[in-house]
Amino acid sequence: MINIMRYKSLYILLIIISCGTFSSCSSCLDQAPDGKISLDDVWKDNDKVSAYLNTCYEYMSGKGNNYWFFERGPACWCDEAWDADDLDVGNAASERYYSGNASASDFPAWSSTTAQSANDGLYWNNYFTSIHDCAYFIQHIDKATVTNESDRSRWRAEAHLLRAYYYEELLRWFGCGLPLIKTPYNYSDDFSKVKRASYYETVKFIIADCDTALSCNDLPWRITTSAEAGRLPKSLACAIKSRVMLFAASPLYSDSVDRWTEAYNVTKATLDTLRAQGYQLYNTLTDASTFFNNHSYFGPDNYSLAKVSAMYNEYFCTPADYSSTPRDKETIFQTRWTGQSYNVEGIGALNGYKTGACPSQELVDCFNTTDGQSVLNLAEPYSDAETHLSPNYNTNNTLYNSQDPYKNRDPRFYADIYYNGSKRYGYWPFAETSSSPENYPASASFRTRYIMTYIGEPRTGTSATGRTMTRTGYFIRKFLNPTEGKNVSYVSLANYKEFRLAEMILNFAEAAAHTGHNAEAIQSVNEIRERVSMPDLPSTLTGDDLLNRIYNERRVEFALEEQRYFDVRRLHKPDEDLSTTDKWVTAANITRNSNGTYTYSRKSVNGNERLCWANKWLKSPIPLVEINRIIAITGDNWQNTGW
Amino acid sequence: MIKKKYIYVLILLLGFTFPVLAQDISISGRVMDPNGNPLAGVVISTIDGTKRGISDIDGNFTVSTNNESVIFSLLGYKSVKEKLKDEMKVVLNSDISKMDEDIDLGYSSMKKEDFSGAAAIVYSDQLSKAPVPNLTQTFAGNFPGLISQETYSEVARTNYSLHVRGLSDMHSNGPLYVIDGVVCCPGTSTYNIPYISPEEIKSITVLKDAASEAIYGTEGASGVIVITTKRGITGKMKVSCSIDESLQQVTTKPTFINSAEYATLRNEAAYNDGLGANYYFSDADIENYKTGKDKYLYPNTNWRAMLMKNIVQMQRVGVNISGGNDIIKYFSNVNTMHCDGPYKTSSSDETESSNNKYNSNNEWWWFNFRTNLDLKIASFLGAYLNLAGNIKKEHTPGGGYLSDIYPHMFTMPSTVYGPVTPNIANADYPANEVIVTQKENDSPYGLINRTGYDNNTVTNINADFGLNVYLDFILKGLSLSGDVSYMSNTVNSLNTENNYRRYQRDATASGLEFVRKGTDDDTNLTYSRSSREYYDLYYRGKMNYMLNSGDHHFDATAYSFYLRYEEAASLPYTHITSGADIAYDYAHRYALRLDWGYSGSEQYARKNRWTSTPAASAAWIISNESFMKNVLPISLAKLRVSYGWTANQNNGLDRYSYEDNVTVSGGGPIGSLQYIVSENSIGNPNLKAEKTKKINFGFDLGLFNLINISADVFKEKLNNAVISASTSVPSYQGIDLSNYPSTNAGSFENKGYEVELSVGKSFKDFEFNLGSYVAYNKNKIINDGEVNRGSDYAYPYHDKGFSYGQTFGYIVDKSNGNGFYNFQSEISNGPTYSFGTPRVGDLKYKDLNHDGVIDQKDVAPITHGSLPNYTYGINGYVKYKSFDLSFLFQGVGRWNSIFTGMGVWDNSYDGIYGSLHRNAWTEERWNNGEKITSPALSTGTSTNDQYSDYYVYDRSYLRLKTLEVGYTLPLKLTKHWGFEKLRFVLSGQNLLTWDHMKSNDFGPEGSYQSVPVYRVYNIGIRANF
Repeated sequence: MINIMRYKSLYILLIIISCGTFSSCSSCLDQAPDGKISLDDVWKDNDKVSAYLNTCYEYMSGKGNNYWFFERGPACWCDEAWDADDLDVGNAASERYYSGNASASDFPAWSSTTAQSANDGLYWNNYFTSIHDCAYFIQHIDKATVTNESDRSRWRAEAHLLRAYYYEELLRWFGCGLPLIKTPYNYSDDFSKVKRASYYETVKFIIADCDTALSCNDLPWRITTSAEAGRLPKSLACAIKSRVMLFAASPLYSDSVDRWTEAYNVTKATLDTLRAQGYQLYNTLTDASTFFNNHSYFGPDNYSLAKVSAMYNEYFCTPADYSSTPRDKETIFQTRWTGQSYNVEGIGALNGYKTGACPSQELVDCFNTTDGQSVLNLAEPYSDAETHLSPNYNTNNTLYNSQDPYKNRDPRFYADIYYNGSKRYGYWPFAETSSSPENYPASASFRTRYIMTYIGEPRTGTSATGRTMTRTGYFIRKFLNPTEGKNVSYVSLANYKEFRLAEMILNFAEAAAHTGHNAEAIQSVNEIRERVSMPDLPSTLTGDDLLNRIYNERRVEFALEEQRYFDVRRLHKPDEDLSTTDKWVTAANITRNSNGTYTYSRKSVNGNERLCWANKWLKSPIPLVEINRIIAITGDNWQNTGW
Repeated sequence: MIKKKYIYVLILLLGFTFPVLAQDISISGRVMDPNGNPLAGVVISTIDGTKRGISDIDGNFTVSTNNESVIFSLLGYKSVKEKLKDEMKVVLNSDISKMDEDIDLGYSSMKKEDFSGAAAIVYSDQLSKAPVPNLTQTFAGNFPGLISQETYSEVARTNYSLHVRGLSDMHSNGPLYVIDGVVCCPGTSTYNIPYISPEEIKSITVLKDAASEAIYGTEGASGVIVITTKRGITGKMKVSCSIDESLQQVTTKPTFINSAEYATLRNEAAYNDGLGANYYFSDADIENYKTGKDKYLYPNTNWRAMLMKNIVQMQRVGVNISGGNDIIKYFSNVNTMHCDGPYKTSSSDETESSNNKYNSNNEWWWFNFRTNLDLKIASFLGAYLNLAGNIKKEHTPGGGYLSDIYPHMFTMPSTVYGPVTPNIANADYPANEVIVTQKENDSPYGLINRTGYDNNTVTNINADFGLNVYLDFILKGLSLSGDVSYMSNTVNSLNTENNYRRYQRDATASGLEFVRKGTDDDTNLTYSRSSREYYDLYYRGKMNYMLNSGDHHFDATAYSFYLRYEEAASLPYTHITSGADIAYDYAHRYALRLDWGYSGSEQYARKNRWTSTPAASAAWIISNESFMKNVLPISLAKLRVSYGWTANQNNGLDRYSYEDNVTVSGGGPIGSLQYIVSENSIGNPNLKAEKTKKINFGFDLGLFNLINISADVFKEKLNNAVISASTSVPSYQGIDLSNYPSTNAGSFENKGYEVELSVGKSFKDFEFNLGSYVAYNKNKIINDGEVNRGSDYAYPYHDKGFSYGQTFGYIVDKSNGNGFYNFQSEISNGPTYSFGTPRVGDLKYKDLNHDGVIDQKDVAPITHGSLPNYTYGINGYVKYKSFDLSFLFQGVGRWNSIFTGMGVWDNSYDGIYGSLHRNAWTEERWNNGEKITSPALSTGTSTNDQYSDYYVYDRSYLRLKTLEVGYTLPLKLTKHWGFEKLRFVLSGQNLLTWDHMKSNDFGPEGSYQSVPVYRVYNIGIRANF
């Protein structure tokens, strides 16, 4: 046998090796550096603090035609347009509105399947995420490492204003009071006691955030350099105040409390402040070579009115400029998205893809004739209140001819809409056939084409099925740059103008009319009309007549922007429904006679009623999973009525 | 002489001198059973457990030792201790309860008699009966409580999912593997386990309860599979080899719908959709398809039969060598396997004018090996070296594995001419171009023959070196060991690629004309290489103390291991676990065992990093009590109980989920702010490893030493399951709930039982053995954070209260007799569907919440969870003189799943029809009262294409898994030829399956999208030298 002592050293070595593995090392389980930082690290570095402010901007929405699959969402979901994508069953949000395919677990305006484009959709989660980020930023900014104190002050104000913006958006979509997140929640917080605020309290919270922003001297009134494009200016704080206060006073949200005096004061202050900062309506055509040339074809051949249309068209098709002395002094805030263009909306035949939103006959009916008269009787525009097939014409209107309906209309009509007989120059990628006698013969080429929308016109006619055709007899022109089209070099697109002075003026007009300041109301509406060379309103208007003119002015001025969808809702009482406006939407029923004349009548777009008019459609549902969680936690049901 | 040289070289290499051995005496003798049959393979060992010899086929043995007495042991027999004397005659009595069996627990082993936990153990000979290439294919039906599911089938490639006693948490993690004491890290088991051959294995033990799993700390919760390989035994060199030739074929083939029938069904679908009676095919067309006279214009193409062989051949050869002396013992095994491809490729077709100059048919070639060496360096020092590995070479079509190509065999109907354009003089199209259809761009022919090929070489090497130090001079019975293990896996691939032109039938031409489809073009073969690497490193130290003092037996082990593994593009993973167990028994009557595992995990914050898993178990061997000694018929009576914790660190979360995952990167919505902070997830430093509490009760009963009954019941409860916190937190707080820190707030339970019955006896010339078991498991999610969907849902919860993997779907309303809308009026009076409008012949769903609308609120549970509730196995062995027969039946019960998609739903591609669609609903069949086996066919998506109980298939089955018949040549003859034993076998795998599937189109494991399980016929030779 081996001599044990001789191998003593070997032994000891072995024992050490064996035992060594027993002594477990704790540090070897520590995470190797993997590039992550903690939130605490963010506040220790100037650049990371500003990066977090950037995060707060993340969920600002694109709007315009950035909705899912390049839709001009809200315009198609109310009575001002019909979506030519309505055959995309189950996918297109518009189709789901029309067929009533909506539930609290999957609502078309915020569905996870039909949303998410440019942050349009998933509003509840996204906006609250950003609200949390803003609250978190506000909580930490005072003690964070920021090298420049004026930066700190401006960033803090921006975060307050962003929070106000997100809350305002939530109010628009969900129409109900919300939990107010002054300081951010922690995941370990007890949510069982959290109550939501009332609608009015939410508005006050928004206004308080706006006031905080307004009190900051480091927040600029305007963004003056394109590097800062997308950042919020101080003027937006005024604009949000005006908008939320108008809503808080409106029938759907007022809880029957008269808040018009407060609304008058807020909207007036907004207007005064903005004007003092140099805001004014856009009223000068600057790029005549693009918008006013031999190919611009704005309606009848009245040079001065056509120039007004061109100016108006230019405003919507040109991005607002960033300068201390800007060309565009009207736009308060434009989104950072430009959206898509002629290839997804306008005239589908221009490149054969799709038409998108088709302006409704109801919208067209709103445009006055050039003498300032309304086409319809505004108090009761249709004798069949729901189906809109029997218009009550304004008996005082002598210029309107229902068989030549597009003559002598408000210049904004020609800037906003392509109608039967209008013209457009561009590359038309097809050869004409004899079934379009107005344009036949012609080959695929650059040329001027008559936009004929009668039934049977093969390219731009009214059709219940074609995606590139029109459903209503009209196409959008408002956001369509006249030089855009196939085989044209890149045209810079306009950002969507989410807040502009015109809205502040009409908000004020409405509040003034409600509080008996009729002269101020009329004067304000006239300012809007004068910009487009429309006659003033009669100075004798009062009461509902005045309000109807103001509402009508909003429909015209904000045609196909995102106002009508929300206006038509706020102007209803909580127990009413949308049957007189949204149930049936009408198209121009135009037939071409053998002698080359046209016969005009009206028809329901596809013979089916839209199923998005019931009372519950006044507000969007809060997502069901969230409601279920809230019920489980608090026992309160926050859901909007009917969902 | 050669052997001696071998030893000297080894010793030199190791650098040790070794002492002159003590003088042993050499004794020989013979071992027999009571019937006088010689017993081969009886191991003769000294009292301290050292194996000193083994008996040969005649029962003869020679043993040299300086001990006074030795122990004779053989599996299935009671061990005996005999004093050494000349011309020994030893008789071993059989023991059906196998109480002398060693149970290998991974880090320690103990006699089954004293074992108080729950484990299932199977030996090599049982597994090697299955003529299959992958080890995991042999598991099903052999281990009570191990659920083994074949999830992927292909000749020479199968994947299995294994679950010990079902699920103990909501992650469906598989068990931990321990090979010869080395823990396989998660992920590596697929690299090496399937490629170990049964011949190199001594035993496989499945550890099922807390008492046997707790020592593995945070690795043990999902069960442990301990694989112990063979080692050399002192004695002359023994060689055995096996040669097998196998024929493999699929167990099921989807029903072939010939072109006339397809045309009829397609027309039927179009008619149902309101497209008229002969929308696709005229009656004349159908008649032409029927007569088949013009095979060009009216073909009848069976794509599968045309492109796949009926029989695939496989050859395997294996050699085992073992032996040794007092200083070195060795065991060595090598195996090779070769397998053909399943396709009929174009290069084997002489008419092919060879666009491709390569053969892309699959070919597999494997080589796996193992050498286990034990060295005795000194009386106090032993060393061992285990070297194992496998090398695989596989050749596959560029189109992918069989599973990628197989579905394309069904996507083109039999009315399509194929596979390539015919060679017709003056035709407008070139000959020999691949034919596709409008909807199918990837012809199976193209995928097999014209997409290039891949050559993969996979090498997997395991090397394990260890030392044992016996410290008897310090304390008798104390020993230490340490080992280092390395495993690497490398894949080297040569990928070649080319593309091909597609042609499709010109629909506008009246004759057989083809037009080019798309822009795909014939391209040159391009080559690329890729490789992937993985390795792990494992250190372990272990201390053991054993004390036998009279009736007190004491065995204690403590160990610690450190495991680190690295793979591409992630930080290394580190595992540290320590454990200890103390086993004590008094006179083999009362046994007590305490276990403890203690693991550190990098997955948790420092304060919660360490997890302790204690367990205790006890057994009372009643039959060893003196009062039971002569109680007939009870040959064994034993009660077992265990209680303890196991843990799981693999909680399904991202790594380091205790930390915030916040990143700062360039960009963001506002350019001037330059950077943006992304809050990807919020860490929860309070997260802990999931701990499952497990209780097991068991008893073992032996009667007449003929029958053995064992039963175990278990219950497992997980009270700190890691779940999303979303129930208690509303979204409005603003942190995306998917980024939300998970918490240990969930709970889950699992329970079940296993009952085993075995009977066996041997007589002169005849012996039989019959074993069977039934195992039951059922898990339930008690809380996984699911949100109540609201009272207007028929089932407000879809997880809570149900088993993991529960499927929900609509319930077909069979109140009208058949569950279809048979009249338009039924539709008008019924609920509206939120996903379309039903037609007559469509499924009628139940409006469970009575709101008049069929939508997500009406779905109900339609399956029983992801795993079968019952598994069972019956194995038998009969031997009469030179003939032997073994069989294994295996099955599962209470298992159903929903089958959807192609071949089940009829409308994918140009309509894929199976046998059930032949009798789809039509007004005519309904009026005639014929059996209807499918809703009305449709050319597009219909309201039938929803999850509903109509498409739930009962997947329970009973299968003749393995059958082996052997004939051993008479010893006289074989001895003359120099063999110790020569045996011929005929065997088979998956020979017969009895199931409840709705059709024979696919079996319980199949579908149109996955390759069916293979059946194997095998002929083999087993020879021992």
